[in-house]
Amino acid sequence: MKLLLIEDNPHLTEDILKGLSDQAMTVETVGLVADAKDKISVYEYDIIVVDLGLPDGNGLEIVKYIKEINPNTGVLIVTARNSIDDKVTGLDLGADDYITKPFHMAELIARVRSLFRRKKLKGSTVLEHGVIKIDITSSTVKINDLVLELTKKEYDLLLYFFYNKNKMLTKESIAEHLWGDHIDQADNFDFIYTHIKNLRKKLQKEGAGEYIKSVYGMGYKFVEA
Amino acid sequence: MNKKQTFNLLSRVTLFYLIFTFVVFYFNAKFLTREADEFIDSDLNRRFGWLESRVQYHLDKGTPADSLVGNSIKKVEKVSKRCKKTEYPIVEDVTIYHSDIERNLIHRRKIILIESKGQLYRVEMDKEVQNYYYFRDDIFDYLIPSFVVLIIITVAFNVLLQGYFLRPFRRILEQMQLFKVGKSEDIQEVETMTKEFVEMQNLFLKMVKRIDADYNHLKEYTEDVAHELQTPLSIIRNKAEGLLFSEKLEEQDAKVVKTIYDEANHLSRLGTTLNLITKIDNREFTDIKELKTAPEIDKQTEAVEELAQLKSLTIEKELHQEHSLNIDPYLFDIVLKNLLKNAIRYGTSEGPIKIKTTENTLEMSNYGKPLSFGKDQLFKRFVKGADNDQSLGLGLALVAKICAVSKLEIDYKYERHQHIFILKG
Repeated sequence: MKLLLIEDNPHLTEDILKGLSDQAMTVETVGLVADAKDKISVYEYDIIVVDLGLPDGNGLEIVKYIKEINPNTGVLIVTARNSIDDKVTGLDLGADDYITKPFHMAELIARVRSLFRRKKLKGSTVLEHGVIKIDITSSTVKINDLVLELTKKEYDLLLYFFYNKNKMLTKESIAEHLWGDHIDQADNFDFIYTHIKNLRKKLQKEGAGEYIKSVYGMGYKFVEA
Repeated sequence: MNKKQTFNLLSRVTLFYLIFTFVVFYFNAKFLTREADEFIDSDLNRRFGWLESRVQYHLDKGTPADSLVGNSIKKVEKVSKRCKKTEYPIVEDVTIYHSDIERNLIHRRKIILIESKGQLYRVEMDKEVQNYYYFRDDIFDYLIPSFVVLIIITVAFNVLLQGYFLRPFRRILEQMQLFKVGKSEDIQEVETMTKEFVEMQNLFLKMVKRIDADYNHLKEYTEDVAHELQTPLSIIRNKAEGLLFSEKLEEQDAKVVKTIYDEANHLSRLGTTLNLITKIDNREFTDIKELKTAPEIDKQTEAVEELAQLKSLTIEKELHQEHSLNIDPYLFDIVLKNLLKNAIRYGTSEGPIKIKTTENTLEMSNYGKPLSFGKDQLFKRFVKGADNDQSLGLGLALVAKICAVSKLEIDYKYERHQHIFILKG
């Protein structure tokens, strides 16, 4: 999988690169609209992650350009503007998804991976981790070929873990992923614990091991059992 | 709203013009009639004077009194010297029937005393004045119809002018009404040769340009602030997150890092929300439409039901399907989200959170302790419950701001242990 990251801030670029490093992806980075256009016209990318606020122009130009050259490329817009105009224009131009700064790295990875699945692996939509299998098309989870009944939130949570294997996920990041805007002023993220507990219970009951590890009460990590 | 009755300018001008003209016509007619009366009087006096001198002359010459009676002199009779001289002359108008033309005609009668050779005569003179009066009354007869004709012509002109001269004015008004901030290029210039309208239009275009420039500066500024702030915040947060899970981190340091992480989150949300308020103030949300609230409320409550349950709260709804508000859907979304968030955060399990809509109100209530500050502080920025340091203190300020720009009314009361918010369209 080949990804082009168009972001002008070196620190953020570094963080994203680190975040995506273990995802079996080839990541290339550029920081200017002009450079991005050069790259796009020469190489083919599966996914392009583009920040809209670039020093030499608006990232929306690139979105338009990509869709002219290679409409199959998945496009994820990163915007700090939180401006609906930009989101709407971006999606109208053919972007597949958008994420607003500041984002949790895990969220970005989940979006990139889900985008990749949607775009490229049209046939195989099954994710596997140990004995757990998730079929994304039908939103079903199986353990040792037995269907696991999960609530919508539990399913989303499990998928989020799948997309961020072996990574620490803070409670804030999980809460934002599951509830989006409704949580942006949450008093206390302890309620996440209820969901984690339920999910753990269901997984263990069907014979899956201890996949979800809690880390000093600050977050969780999805590991090999 | 109490709407004052208004009339269009031309009609008012016409009305005033007609009232004024009526006054002029009326006094004109009065004046002319008086002039005519004076003329009639002086003419008759001249004639009567002449008759009088003739009678005097003949009586002095010794002509018998009876032979003086003729066309205009009706009677000449001797009277006693003792008669009341002060009563004379008597002047009066009398109506006399003329059998030859079968009509009543007005005559002026003047009775005087003449002394000749020591004898007093009573002389009665008479002159037909009907034609004089006809002439006098003709003034009114002509002026009233010409005034009516004037009314008709003026009103007809008014109607024509409304259509013709005022058309550019209406078009300019239309452009003003259609004008949306940030879309000045959509304004079509209206062709007109009327100086006042040209001036008005120029002024309007100048204002639009200024408004647009201000709008764009503010928009750019908020977007720049958002971008320049959120990017470093992203970095701080990611780095802190990385540190938080580092194996080498001591527990004490982890607490410090956690604080940095939390504060970065707080700052980021604060920036986003303040920006949102600025954008609302700048009226960047212009997708105003009549929005049915029931489906929106269902959607929002479904999303937070679980969060409410985790606090052992239930949400009860009583929705009027036809209740609607004129508002940008995105803004209504924010209003609902914030009211719900508020209700869940401050609600106690004493009773359910209730959402009720009627034909024209939306009410949301939750049980809880009374406010620890004044009711007038509730919708102000950075006012929050004493026991809640996680809150931004901006949610209700945001709601109030949205209501203000969307011309909705929001009210709050505390009754029977319940905080109640009432939204009226």
